[in-house]
Amino acid sequence: MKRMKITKYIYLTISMFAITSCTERMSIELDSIPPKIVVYGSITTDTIAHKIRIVQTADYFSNNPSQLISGATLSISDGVNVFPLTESITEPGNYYTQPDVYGELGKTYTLTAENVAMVGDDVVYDLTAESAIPSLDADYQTKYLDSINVLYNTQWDGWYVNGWANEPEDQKNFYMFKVYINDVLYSDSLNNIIISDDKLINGTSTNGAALYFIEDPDTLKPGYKVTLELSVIPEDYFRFITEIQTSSQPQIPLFSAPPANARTNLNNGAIGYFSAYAVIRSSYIVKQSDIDTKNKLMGKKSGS
Amino acid sequence: MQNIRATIQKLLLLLFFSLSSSLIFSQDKFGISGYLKDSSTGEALIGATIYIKGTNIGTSTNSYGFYSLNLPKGDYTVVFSYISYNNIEKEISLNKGTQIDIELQPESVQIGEVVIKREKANANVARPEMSVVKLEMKKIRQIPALMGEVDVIKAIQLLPGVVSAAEGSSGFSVRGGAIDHNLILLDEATVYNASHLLGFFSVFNNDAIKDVKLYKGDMPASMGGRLASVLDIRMKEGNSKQFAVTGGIGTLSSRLTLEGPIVKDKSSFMIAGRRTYLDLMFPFLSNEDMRDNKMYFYDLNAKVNYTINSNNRIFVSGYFGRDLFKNGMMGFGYGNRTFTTRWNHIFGNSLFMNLTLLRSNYNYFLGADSNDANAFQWDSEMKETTVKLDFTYNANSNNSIKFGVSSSLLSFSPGIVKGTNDESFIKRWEMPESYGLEHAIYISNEQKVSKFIFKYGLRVSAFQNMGEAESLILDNNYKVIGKNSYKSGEIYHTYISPEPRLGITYLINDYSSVKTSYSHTVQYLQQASNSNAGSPLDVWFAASPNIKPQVADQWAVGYFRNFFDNSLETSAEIFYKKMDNLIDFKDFAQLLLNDEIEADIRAGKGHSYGFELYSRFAREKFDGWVSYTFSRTFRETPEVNLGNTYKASYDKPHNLSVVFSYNFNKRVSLSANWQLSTGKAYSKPVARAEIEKVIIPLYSERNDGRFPLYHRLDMSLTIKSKKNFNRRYQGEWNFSVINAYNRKNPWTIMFLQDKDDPNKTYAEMIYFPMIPSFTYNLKF
Repeated sequence: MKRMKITKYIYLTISMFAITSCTERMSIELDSIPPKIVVYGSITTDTIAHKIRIVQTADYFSNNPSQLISGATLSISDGVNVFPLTESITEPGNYYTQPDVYGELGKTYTLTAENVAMVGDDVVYDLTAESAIPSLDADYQTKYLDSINVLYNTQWDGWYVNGWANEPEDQKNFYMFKVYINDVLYSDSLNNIIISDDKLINGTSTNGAALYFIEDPDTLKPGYKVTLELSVIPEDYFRFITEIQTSSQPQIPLFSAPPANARTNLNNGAIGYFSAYAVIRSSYIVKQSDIDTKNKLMGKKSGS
Repeated sequence: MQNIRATIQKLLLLLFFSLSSSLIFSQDKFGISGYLKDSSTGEALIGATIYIKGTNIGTSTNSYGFYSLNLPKGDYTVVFSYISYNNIEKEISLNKGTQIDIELQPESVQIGEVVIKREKANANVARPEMSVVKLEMKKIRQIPALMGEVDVIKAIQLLPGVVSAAEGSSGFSVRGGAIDHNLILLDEATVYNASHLLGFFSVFNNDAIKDVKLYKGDMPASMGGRLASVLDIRMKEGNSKQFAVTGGIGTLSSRLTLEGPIVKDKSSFMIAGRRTYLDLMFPFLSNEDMRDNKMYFYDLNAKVNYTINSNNRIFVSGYFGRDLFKNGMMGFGYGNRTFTTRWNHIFGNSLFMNLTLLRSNYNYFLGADSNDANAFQWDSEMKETTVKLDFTYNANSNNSIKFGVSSSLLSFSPGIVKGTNDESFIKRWEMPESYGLEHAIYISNEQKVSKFIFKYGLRVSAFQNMGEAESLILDNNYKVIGKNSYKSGEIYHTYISPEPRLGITYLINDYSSVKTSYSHTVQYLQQASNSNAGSPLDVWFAASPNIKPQVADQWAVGYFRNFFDNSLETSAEIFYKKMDNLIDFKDFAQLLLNDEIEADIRAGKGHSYGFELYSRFAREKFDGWVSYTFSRTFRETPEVNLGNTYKASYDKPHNLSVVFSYNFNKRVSLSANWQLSTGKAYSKPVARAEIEKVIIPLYSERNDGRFPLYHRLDMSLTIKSKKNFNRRYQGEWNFSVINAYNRKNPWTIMFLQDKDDPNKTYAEMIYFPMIPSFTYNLKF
């Protein structure tokens, strides 16, 4: 959460100076490489059909939807049980477990994908990846997150999702925050999920600090249900998301490190990530008073 | 360690023998010494030439305007000369130690009786130093400046061998070095971040500066601590003749400098301030949120000096500057402070001593100032306290010996983050503080042997890590496997490095020479920065048990020749530089608030080579220079770019700068500079991968692409008010335009995903268009 603010802040200060600068699209000739397999998906502590998606890379300016990879054989195993995945008929390239599957704290899960064949490449690949759900106390569902609310912020023109959460002092934890509005995933892209380590907040209570930010000012109406999903994720997955978010940011000479390729936990030249993590949720029903507060703040801002 | 000691002993012995052999034969000699000053302001003249007419015996003034020469008894004609000043010749009959203080008249001043004729010295040819560039403030002021802010660092980026880190940036790379390989000194105090407004302007207020010198490799033994260069900037002492006011009102900022005598010819002061005023308009904005916004920078330079007597002078100077950006929620500020106290003492006529005490500080903060749980403040600070003792001994007309010691205490507090109210969800988190001691001892000699001048010296530097500290223990895979704790004041690690320096100058004749030099430099402090241009948030950190000092060896050969009575100076230099233990970081290293940063460092190697052609001309109506540099620079770092050699982002093979000023008459002058260079190296994506709706670029090799060809023309027109002899008031209009023909040179190229069509990706550049500005300068 802090990281988001600092980056946003830095862009803000640049934009203050950027009054003198201009932007312009340009055409650049780029090289190509043979395609690579991209795997992304997870198993969590939720009892649902867990999804793994397989696509392939393309030329940078290809400008088409990703080529989906169909016909692969997938399964997730915890060493004892094997959960097979079946490819969705309506969404090719997306593979699901049965809806009664759930991951358990502390267990290591292995994804196996066999017969993965890319379009434009004759080789058929077998891939594996491994991830372990962090070991948490048994009462983790109630221990971490007490409650949330929402508050409009005029500086950023959007909604803070504030949380009352407790960070355990004895563990080194990594968190991922997602938001659902009326049970529909709002954080549907890797760029609008928030991640945080516990370095600065180890052992503290968040006291209603902003844990998530909804950019669209008009999304929330009275009676809407806002759900904050707090996931405790493995450190390596945390680093993966950091790297993906960094890679998708524009290069700014002052702050950007030389670009590089994000890590992966897949083998045989594939990229992407298979993760396993624990999920905790808390919900809030938007009140008329939240909207009133917003309108009051907006009115003050536009200046009378 | 044993090895180093043996080497140092050998080198010291060698030095001792060469020194003693040159001193033993000294005969009955007398010293001429004194100070050279500007006759109108009383400012000491740095690097002015003093020579005996008809011989090649001579010397130059040091940073305090002091010179000394030892000569046998006899009659001499001594010539005192300085660029853009009228020469003075003096007949002397030497039979005892003599002090001659001289005041030279600037060329523009009406010709008086003492003036002989304008005759420029061949200093660049005859002086036993190469890869050094000196710029006069007068020249720097003529160069068209961004928003009219005359900027020393932008001026030196037009010199051969110097490459700007990014378009508009005050970061620079010298002969393939990194930005933090440059030591930037203001009155001898290190300026740890020389940037204002995120790097678009430098911290140096031109009205407060007297002299600028850039050492690109042939670093004197008295200087060290950085691999690539020393930018030595000296503040004005203040007019000791009369009270004077200099000021300016510009597009971005206003400046005011006051200077004058405190006690005439004994003591003077200078105080200079500047502040930007864009934010002064904010309160009138209709958007209430914006009204509370702050965005400004200011700086303040001050100096006083006192001449106790002809053998003792004291100088006290300081710099204080700050940048602040603030909106209703967040604030971010940074700034430098330096403080220098110096005592010059002359023993006899030929031993000059300078004792310096200095302090330097760089700090920044970033915070959210709300009254809820989000409030926090993050502070970072580094401090340096240094004592230096330097001696110059002009043993005789053929030997000038310099020696000295210095010792610094460094303390780093890279980051403290704390909540600022009871509700704050961040309580307090600290990066461990660390301490270091940096010492150096040096001796060098400039020895003339017929047509040769040998310059040889040895600097022995040392760095010690001091507790209280926790030092990381890393395994071979850079994994932290433990920590060693040390008590307060405990010295737990020491590096000692001999740094030999060597230079040979062969004077072919009065107007041409060949020079060669070798230098070994060591750097113990570095900046945690992995971006091109660097940001104010980059913290400095020291060598440690896990971080070896960075080292560089540089060889250079040059040919120097002057034409047309020294009014055209030309030089050609070739260099090769080899660097080791270079600091780089693993991919995606998180450099801010990383208390285990040492584990993310990957020490690499680098090399650069090239040649530089430089030709500087000065005529009554026009002056300027043309510089062409060919240079390449490469890096090789484990784990970065799969361990393969890659181009550094400063690798711009071709660089051409043309700087030209033309005086139409006494009132109107036009200046222009044009730059042409290869685009900088950057990494081009070779493919894209879509993961959870985000398209990320994939790369194959670091810095495999190039920005388009870079070229830019800047121009400025200066119109001075009519000279009125009754009044001292003099006004001057300056109109400048940066990027006159609006070339779209990318500051950055970004590869982005289209917000409206998520399947689409495109490349976009940010560039700076033509930027005009005007400034009104005044002086009285």
